[in-house]
Amino acid sequence: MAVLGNTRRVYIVTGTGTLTYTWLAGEQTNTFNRTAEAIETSDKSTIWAQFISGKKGATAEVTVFTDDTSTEPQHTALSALHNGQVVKVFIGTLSTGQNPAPTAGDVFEAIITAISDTNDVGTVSTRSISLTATGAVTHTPTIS
Amino acid sequence: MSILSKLFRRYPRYDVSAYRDIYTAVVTRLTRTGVRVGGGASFPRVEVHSIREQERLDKEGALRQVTLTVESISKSSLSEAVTMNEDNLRLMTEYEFELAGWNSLGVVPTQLQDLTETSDTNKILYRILQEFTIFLEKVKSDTPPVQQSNENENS
Repeated sequence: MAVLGNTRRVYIVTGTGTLTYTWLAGEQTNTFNRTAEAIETSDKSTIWAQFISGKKGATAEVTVFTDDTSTEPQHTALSALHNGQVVKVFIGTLSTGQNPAPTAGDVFEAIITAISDTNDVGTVSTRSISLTATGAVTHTPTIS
Repeated sequence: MSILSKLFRRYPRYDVSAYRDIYTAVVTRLTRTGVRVGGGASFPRVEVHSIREQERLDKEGALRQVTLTVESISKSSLSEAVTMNEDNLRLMTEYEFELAGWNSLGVVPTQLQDLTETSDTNKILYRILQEFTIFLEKVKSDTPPVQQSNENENS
């Protein structure tokens, strides 16, 4: 079933055992790109190029309305960029109830590669955060 | 249970319209002696109308953008209408709105339009329409809390 983009959000994931999902409040939009390298295996005997799937990867970008409060997750992202730290991120939907868990989406660790602020006259300031996954991306529902 | 009660049970408080709060606040802000604010036929008069609450700006519906028109109407002179409009501009922008449940991010004056016209009785009404855009954010306590979960990852 199709879903509204409103429901698929970016969360900073913290904790071990019991995980805490903190939504990037003020989120406007996010994009998540999964990639797989194409390794060419064709030679002179083939007419058409042939490939095998190589290393997988992922990048993400989220745009939020700027909030510089030090306790907000945007500050976590800024700190991670400044200090070169890895952040754990979930993009998708969580179940409702007392102990929400991912129902659809992807969890991954990432480095912050860019944070761009836009401050236009007559509009609310926005901030775009770019992430590059480091290591495996875990998808829900489970991929067999 | 009333229809309204059912509605508010279904939709949490943070998803209600900002219309009522902002309309009340703007009328209160613009009220001063010598000028009628609101409906009626007396002059000089200021009317607040054409309020348009735009699509929610963020995924939670916490950020709102409300556009409204403040009309200054005079029967005596264009100068009076212009002066009323300048007073409206000052009142609307000189300090932030204080609304229960909302943080005002700012008020941006946008278009100004002179719609001075002649009525059927050939008496001129001097009308200045000033448009404003107001940005609001729901206070944090009304947004859902941080969500927690037991570890539930696949590999």
